[in-house]
Amino acid sequence: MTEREKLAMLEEMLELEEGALNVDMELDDIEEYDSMSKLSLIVLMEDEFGVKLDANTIRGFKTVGDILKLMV
Amino acid sequence: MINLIDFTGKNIIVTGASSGIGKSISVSLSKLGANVVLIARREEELKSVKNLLEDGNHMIIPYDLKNLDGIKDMVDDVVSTVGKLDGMFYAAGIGNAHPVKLLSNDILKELFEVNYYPFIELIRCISRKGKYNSGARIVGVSSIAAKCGDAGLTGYSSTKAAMEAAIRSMSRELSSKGIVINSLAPAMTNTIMYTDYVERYGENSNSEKRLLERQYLGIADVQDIVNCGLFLLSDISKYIAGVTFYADGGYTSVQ
Amino acid sequence: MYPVINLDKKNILIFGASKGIGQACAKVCDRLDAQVILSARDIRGLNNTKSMLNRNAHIYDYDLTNTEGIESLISQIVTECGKLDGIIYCSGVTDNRPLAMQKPEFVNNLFKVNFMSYMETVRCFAKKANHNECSSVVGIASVASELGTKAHEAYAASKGAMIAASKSMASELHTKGIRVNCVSPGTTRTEMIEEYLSNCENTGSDVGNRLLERQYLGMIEPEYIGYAVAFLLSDASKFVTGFNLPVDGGLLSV
Repeated sequence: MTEREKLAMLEEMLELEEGALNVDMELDDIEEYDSMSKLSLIVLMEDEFGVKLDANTIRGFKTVGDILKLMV
Repeated sequence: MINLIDFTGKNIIVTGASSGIGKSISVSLSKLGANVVLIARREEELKSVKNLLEDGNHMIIPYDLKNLDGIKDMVDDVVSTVGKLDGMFYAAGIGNAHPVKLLSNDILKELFEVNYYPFIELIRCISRKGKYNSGARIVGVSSIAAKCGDAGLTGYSSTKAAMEAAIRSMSRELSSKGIVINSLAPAMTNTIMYTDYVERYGENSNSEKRLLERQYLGIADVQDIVNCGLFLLSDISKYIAGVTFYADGGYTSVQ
Repeated sequence: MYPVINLDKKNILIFGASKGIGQACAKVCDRLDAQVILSARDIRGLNNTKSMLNRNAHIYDYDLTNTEGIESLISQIVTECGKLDGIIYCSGVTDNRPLAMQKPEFVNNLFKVNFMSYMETVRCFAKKANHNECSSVVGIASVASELGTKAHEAYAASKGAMIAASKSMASELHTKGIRVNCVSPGTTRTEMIEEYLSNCENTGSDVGNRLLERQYLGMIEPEYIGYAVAFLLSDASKFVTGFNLPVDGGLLSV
């Protein structure tokens, strides 16, 4: 999966326009990244990548790129 | 087999103890080890109920609950005689039907004076420091009438609805003292209320046929209602709070 | 002194008996002299529950996503253990995902375990060959059906379905001597709930805290759900049917 494709997945999840996200963006600056979105992210990572996110991992995400790193 | 419901050493007030559900639950409580405080108006009836009880530190109090001012002293008297209270089963109540045009203010007041005001006053007094043990359980006998309206039941049903609403707030408020309160809503039970009902409408009346279509398990035996009361008075139901427990043979669940 | 709640000689089938509330129900029924029959997907969990009981228990591992196979499972159980006196349906899967992620396949699967297989279980139980007179079904529902919690749509709906269906079942099956009731637990100390609450914490959601605040008697120990279920299975509750009993520490009343 390309970086663009992964970003597109997150853009869809957050209901943002295509191209709205880039890897360097700080998650704290993204208004849409709230507790409901974090729930969606947990489901997305498990369903699409078989990755189970734990408390520390979620808290550790600072940028969009941090999330992308786990999308393997 | 373990015995889940055991009232050994518990002091429990029962109002309306001279007949019907109040009388039967007093007997059952005594069999389960409770010390029962029997309250009703008629002293002779109370004495004969006391004779039916298993041995225990029981007490009879002939008392008219309309006398609200005396309730505080009455509760103090009970506590100093029997000990701190572990529960109350409020089965006192009048259930006459009145069409709205006959529902004068005096009649409405009387319904509240027996069915509702003493209930609140008793709990107000019991919940004072030194009068109760933590873990105390209170049950108010309500009725399906609180939820299911019918002609003639305006007065009666409103006293029961008031009781149910009050229970939700009181239980919330008194939870910090370890007091938990619920209501028990029976459908038509084989007591004097049923006898009066049959007298009023006749045997196998259309009214009763309609009733039994909804209350499809039939007319309740008193002991069936008592068993639900025992469950709500016991420790094992301690996480059930502010609930109206319907013992209604299906009545409230069908069309 | 006498036992108000007595399950002596009653055959009670428990779905979801491998942990949590189902396990607690098995322990309570066993102590009341019931003959418990344990079922769940997880055979290790079932054996674990079995080891906690005083009396011997039969075990049937079964995956309730297979609704069609329930008919022959019940027949097999009745053949091997005798007619049943009670059922506790405690199997359930939860969800914790926003509506956007509650796609049809997910919802369908959840409904199969939480509701379709419950209906099918009661349908089969109600056949003359499978139940004794004066028997009782208890469906473990949830306060969720009343609470409108976000990201909980399918779960809440499945429990609402269970409660509604149970009322109809109660009115239809009483002529066969079968009562049907539900118990709606509030927040109870189980693995499922602890996972849910930690999920809330991890995502910074306030839902878990608010639930526990409203449930003013605090977190419920699963054995107390077991006691309520045992009461409803016993003859002491013989006039109670079509009822959904909240065991919720006050939550729904405030």
